Amino acid sequence: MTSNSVPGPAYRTASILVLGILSAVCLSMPGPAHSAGELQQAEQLVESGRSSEALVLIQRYGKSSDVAWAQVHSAALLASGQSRKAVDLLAPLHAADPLNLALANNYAVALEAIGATDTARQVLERALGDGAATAAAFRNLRSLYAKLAAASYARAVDAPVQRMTPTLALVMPSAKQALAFTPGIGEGSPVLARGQAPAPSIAPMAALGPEAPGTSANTPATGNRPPSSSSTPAPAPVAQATVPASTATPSSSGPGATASSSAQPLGKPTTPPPAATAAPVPQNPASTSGSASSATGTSAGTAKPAEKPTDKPTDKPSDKAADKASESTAEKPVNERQAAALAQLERATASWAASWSKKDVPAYLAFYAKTFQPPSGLSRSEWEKQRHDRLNRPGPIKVTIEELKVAPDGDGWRVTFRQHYRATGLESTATKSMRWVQEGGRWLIQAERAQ
Amino acid sequence: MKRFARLSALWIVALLTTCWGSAHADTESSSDQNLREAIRLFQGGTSLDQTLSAARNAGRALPKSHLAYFLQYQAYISMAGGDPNQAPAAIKPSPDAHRELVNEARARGKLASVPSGAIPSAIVQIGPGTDTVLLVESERSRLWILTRKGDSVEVVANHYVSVGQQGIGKEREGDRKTPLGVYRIQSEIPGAKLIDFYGPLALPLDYPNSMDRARAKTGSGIWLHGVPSDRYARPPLASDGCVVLANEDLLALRKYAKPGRTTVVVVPQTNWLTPKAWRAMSSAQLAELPLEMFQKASTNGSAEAMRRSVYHLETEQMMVAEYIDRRGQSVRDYWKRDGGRWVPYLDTKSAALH
Repeated sequence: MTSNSVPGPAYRTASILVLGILSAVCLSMPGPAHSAGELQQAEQLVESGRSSEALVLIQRYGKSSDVAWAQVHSAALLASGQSRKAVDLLAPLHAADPLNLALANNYAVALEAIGATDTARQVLERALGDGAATAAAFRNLRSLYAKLAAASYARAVDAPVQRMTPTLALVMPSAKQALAFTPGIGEGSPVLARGQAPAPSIAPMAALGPEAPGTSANTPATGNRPPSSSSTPAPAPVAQATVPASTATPSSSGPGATASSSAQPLGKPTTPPPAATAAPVPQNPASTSGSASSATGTSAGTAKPAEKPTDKPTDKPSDKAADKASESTAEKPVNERQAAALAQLERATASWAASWSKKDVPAYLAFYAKTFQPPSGLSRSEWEKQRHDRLNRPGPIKVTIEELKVAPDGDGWRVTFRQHYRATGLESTATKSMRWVQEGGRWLIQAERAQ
Repeated sequence: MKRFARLSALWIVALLTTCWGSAHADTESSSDQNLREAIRLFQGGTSLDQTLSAARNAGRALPKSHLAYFLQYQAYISMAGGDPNQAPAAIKPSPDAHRELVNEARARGKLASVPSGAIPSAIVQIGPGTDTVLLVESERSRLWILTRKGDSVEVVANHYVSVGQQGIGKEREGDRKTPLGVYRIQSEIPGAKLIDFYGPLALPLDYPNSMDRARAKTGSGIWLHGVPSDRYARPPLASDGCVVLANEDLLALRKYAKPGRTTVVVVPQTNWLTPKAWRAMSSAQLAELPLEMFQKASTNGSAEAMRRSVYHLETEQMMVAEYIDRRGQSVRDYWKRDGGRWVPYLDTKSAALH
């Protein structure tokens, strides 16, 4: 178990979920009228844990071709540990009617009981996927789960709660394809678009790939300008490049989050996960090709404005710019931008250390961005008080830094250095890592960590 | 079919309830039980529906618990087919936030490994001079409230706690460790005199005690305290050396934690024994311990000896006997394991004090 995993999770995500949903679906299945008495009796026996008695009854009265009897029979077999027999019982019935959800569900449960998880998945996917409405409902449910998940997570880590509008699938009476629908929450207006056929298999959350998606999703915006101004390697590109990025990050500031559907190319890339799962529509070909050449993480960001470009021509330029930018950031300009950033951040870090050495608390605190996350769960004011107290301890403080390095980090820069700290009765050397972002033309610290 | 599903769900619940009863959960605060039930269901990898509903119960019971929302996230994202071990793309948690929540979930889950009715071997005897012993078991992130019950010991309650960022075994000021050893609650600082960060109450300990000073340990201001009002708990390793409890747990603890009468024992871990095994251990240790060889305090022989509280710092191979003198001062004697015997451990400085 890696350090990032939850205590012993044994998620069998999709299959278990489907089993759960389907057992609910099965409630509405009508039972046959004949021999209802015995059937009901058998069902009650299974329910009260007397499976072997149920099996005797089923043997006497049951009809192997009858779906209702087979349901009870398979449950009795499963409850008494005869999973293989349950599979054999249900296999021909399922083969005759693979779209019968109740049958498919019980068959999948039986398959899972003998360890045939992948076959169980196929059975369920087929039963679900062949019914357009079922598939749409299933996908929509997942989209809603993803949205609820993100909202819970935001509360868990004290991040600002995102405004998310997953694209959902609307089922129409005569159309074979579901319509892609993005509800207009808040000021946004709803968007309805003819979608493409739902993908045959359930797409995993593309945005939750191995890469840290939050960072890469911002990359396009970070690189907005460099292609045109790459001949000017000086500080300018860095400053230009980072400013739009910070406005486009609703996680750190409010405004980006309010971006309604009319401003999607900026607002959307920051909310990839719900959209990625939500879309019953596979990725728009245009955006797919646009991101194909760039980093994998970027495709998550560029994937969602999918349905838009046709009806919003004004959005196109920046959309393209973002695509181009995502390519360019992956290439050379990084070095030039890095050189420029190094010069700026060296100065900024030196000023920060100087304010500390001078015990100039207001100047010192002013180096920290509004979005700075104080360590150990302190609130901003508690942390400020703590810093105030530490800086105001009697005696001189001397902070010097060396071996400063910078590296791009999403819409900001990662700065690492050796920090020597000397105060009365305490001397320490540590490697410090900071994340700097530009806000209102100033370089500010968003995260700070000592190693 | 549907009935079968319901049946099996009930069966699972029944099974879990059975397992539940076998842990020391009965002495855990009820709000924490919500949280731990959700963790337990995650660890068991049972149904996501149940897990989600447990996580939502925890969130309702503990609206300030970040972990409750984290568990809800895990359930929802699993149902959405996402990876519960990753942050959603739109959210960038602070570098440690995700890991700390995982750590808290793990730490809380460890309570399940303590059998119901078990007694910790770190407590050899609770004498009449001690009302209550608060045993902090850092590797389980638990504080156990123990009282004397006849000649045995009873677990009254237990709470999740956070200790120092660097664990326990404090040596130096600023090392961010919680002291390991036997301490007493010195006083009570009401919430009105505290900044919000420390919660509604603080209970300072007598660190450094005489043994600590004899061993040249430094640092001060080791408290039991609460959390800021917008939080329910902190990660397992979070403080600069204090022992941190949820505010409601701290207030529940208040009636047991009396200045001068409540001992706080901090150990990394202890063994949990059945009452029978504990009795055998206790009498064997007391028989072996040369209690007549007190370094301090006037004693009247074995009758006095029996009045002492005796604690076993297992990882340190040390035994500590505590006695309350006529002025209400805690007097402690130490023994170290040496060549298969308990040998009085002299702390010369403090011996001179008494």
